[in-house]
Amino acid sequence: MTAARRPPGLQGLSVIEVSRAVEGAYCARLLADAGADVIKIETPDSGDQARRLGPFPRDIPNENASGLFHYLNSNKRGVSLNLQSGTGRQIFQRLLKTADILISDYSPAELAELGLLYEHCRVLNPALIACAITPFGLSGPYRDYQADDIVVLSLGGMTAATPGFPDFVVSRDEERPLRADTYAAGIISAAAAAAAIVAALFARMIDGNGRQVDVSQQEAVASTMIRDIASYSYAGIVSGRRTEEEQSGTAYAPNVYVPCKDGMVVIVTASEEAWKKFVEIMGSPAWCKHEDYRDTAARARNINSLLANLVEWTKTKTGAEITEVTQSNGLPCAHVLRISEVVNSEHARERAAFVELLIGDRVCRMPAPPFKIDGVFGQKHRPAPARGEHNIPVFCGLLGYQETDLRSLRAIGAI
Amino acid sequence: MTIVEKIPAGRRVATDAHKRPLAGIRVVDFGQVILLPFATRWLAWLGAEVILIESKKRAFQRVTPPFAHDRPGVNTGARFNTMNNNKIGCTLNLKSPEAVSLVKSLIAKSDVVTENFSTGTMEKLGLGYEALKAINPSLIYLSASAFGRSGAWRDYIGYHSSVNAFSGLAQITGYADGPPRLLGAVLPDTVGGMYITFALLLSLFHRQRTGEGAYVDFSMLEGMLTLMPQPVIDYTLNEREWGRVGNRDAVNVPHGIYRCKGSDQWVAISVHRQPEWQHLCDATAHPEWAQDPRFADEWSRHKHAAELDQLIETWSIQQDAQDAEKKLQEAGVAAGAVLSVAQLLEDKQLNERGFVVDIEHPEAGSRKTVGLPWKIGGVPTADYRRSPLLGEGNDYVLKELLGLSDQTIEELKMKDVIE
Repeated sequence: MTAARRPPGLQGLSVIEVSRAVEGAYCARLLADAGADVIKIETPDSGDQARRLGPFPRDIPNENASGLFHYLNSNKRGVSLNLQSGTGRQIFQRLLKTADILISDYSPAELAELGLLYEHCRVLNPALIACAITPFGLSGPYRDYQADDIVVLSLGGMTAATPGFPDFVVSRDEERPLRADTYAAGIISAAAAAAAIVAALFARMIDGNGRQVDVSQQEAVASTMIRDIASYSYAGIVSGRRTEEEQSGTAYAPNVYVPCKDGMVVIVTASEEAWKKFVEIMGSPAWCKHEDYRDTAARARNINSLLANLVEWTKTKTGAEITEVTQSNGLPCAHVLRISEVVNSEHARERAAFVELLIGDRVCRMPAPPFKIDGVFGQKHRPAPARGEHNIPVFCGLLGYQETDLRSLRAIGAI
Repeated sequence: MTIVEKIPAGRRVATDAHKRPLAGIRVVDFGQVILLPFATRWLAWLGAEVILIESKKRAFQRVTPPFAHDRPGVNTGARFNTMNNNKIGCTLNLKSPEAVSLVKSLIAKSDVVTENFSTGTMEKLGLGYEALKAINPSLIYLSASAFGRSGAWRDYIGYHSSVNAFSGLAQITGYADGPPRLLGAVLPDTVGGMYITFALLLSLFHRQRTGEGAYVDFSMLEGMLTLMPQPVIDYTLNEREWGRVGNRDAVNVPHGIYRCKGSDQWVAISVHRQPEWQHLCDATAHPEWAQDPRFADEWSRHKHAAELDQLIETWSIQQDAQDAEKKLQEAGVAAGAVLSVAQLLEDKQLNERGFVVDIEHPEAGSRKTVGLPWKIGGVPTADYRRSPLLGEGNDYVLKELLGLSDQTIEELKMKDVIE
């Protein structure tokens, strides 16, 4: 007797997504990229808010043309369902009974109100893995705090350390903590949550039980601060937006960010050999021989005078020239690229680092899945669903409603 | 799944270890610096047995400062000890063919190989994917690097700072009138580490179902790009090059980080909708702001964001950051103090959830670190343990897993195969 070959990746697993932010949607997308059947639930009235955020082709808002919405929701199916209505809730419960995984990014209070907490879900489906991504987790004193990206990045320790380089252009006291203009906390916690969900699938394989997966965005962000945590725990160094004195406790110097002829460059010399090599690249100027720069500790102590000297050289070169001459000598230096330069780079093209999608009449490129596994992950790119696009296959095909039922459900605002 | 033959001597293992998701999985790890060690440490916390192959002579990962007690040494380094919890260390001289064949025997009994050497190193050692797949057909092999194992930049070296610059993220971080900025967190490594953990779990799940192994070529650059869909899409759709906007947001206003009482104290505030704006005016006891036509609705507030930021700072500068956070949160406004790494480890939320852990190390003493950023019901809390001392796991790997005799081990030491 030969057993039927089991499907690859996460194919055959059913995921219900209830989200309004980046974290829930992107986490579910990662599972969709691995082959899971993700059913995204949107409210019938306004739909997901990413539909209104863009970017849109020619900046013309259109709920089916948001680049961000497509990025977050590729490879999913979409249904409209009103979880506030009693009937909508009943349909949702039937859907949960068919699911392996529930992903949500609602607040703990909303989860309780909508009956989405694991303790409610498990009654319906004991094998369900219910993953809640919340700003601070489902327990603890901040559980009910309001938050968005900048707040989570701040309470996770990242903004205090940004910009993370010593810089003589702007002093630390003048430059306030900073965030990146992206949904960093959302994407980071979604990646962590995707890993946690697969771990929970392994646990389910052992005992057959579903379980709660409780992912804290604050903890996911704090996890990214691990280098600074190490330096603080072992040597009391609070790296912060580092000054030169503080940098003396870190691993190597220079590791700096300085102006060049046409922008900014990162100069990193991670060992004495690397520093020597870099001095040669600069043409061995006399200042390098000074006692102040004899080893990494001395260079860190005298970082300001070192930077002043260093810039004399970097100012004479373009960023691309510095990248080329350092990288070809095995030094990890780099200049700051514009988005257009990364998108148009030969490297990105060769790596298929962006995937193409037609939105309206315009070709949109978006960041590709972060890795690829043959036949398993990151090779399928189906556009995000229109609002309610899969109502019929899901409600009729999966749950057994008749199309006539859908009309009355629509009439009472349930779908 | 591989059956773990025996628990290494002297290692404390929780009695419910078999309930951990990755119990029975063995990983042979050639991880360096942060990117890969970050991920394999999470796998170890999920129950995998992670064997770190190290060099005694070139133990530079271990001697990266700072050090515990200011005492440089191979077992006191902050970086190494923080990135390699729960792993078993084995010291081999990979320049010797005999060491490579020992590693191959180990890999034949393992499930996963992970490496982040520079491009081509593993192939030169005879440890490339194709070679190892021949001895272990269902092997999962993950290569991690700054730019990937193919493409024009495959031989470029990238630390987090350079990858940040290459990704374009630095270009869109900073103030409109200032230079590009780099994020403080080692984000290319740590976000990469999270994606790698996901990739390995997914590959293992796939193998569990189909028996097939997998090859993963992870690039830090591509991990970073996933953080910035909007600037990429806006450029490709509308040829718009994003500039820098500081802490401002396209939707929420006010949205920023405001100076508080004391030195280097700050609070982040983000106001989403009209009711929250009203709550902010109430909580700060500035009802006149709510009446001010410059701030009447979102559109007006965006237009007058600079003036609004200044006004908010006249309030925040008189508050302790924690008090500002509390007052705003109690009024339903998203706000949070900017925590330094020192405050982070003392944060009551993180501590109450058991995320901050103390790990005892015989040479480094008791040191705080942070654990897994999630809780999975019905799965025992990770058994957080220290990093291995140099060579500590040699006996377990060489004798118990590979079955070498004491005499053979002595001979191999003499021949500089085992370090």
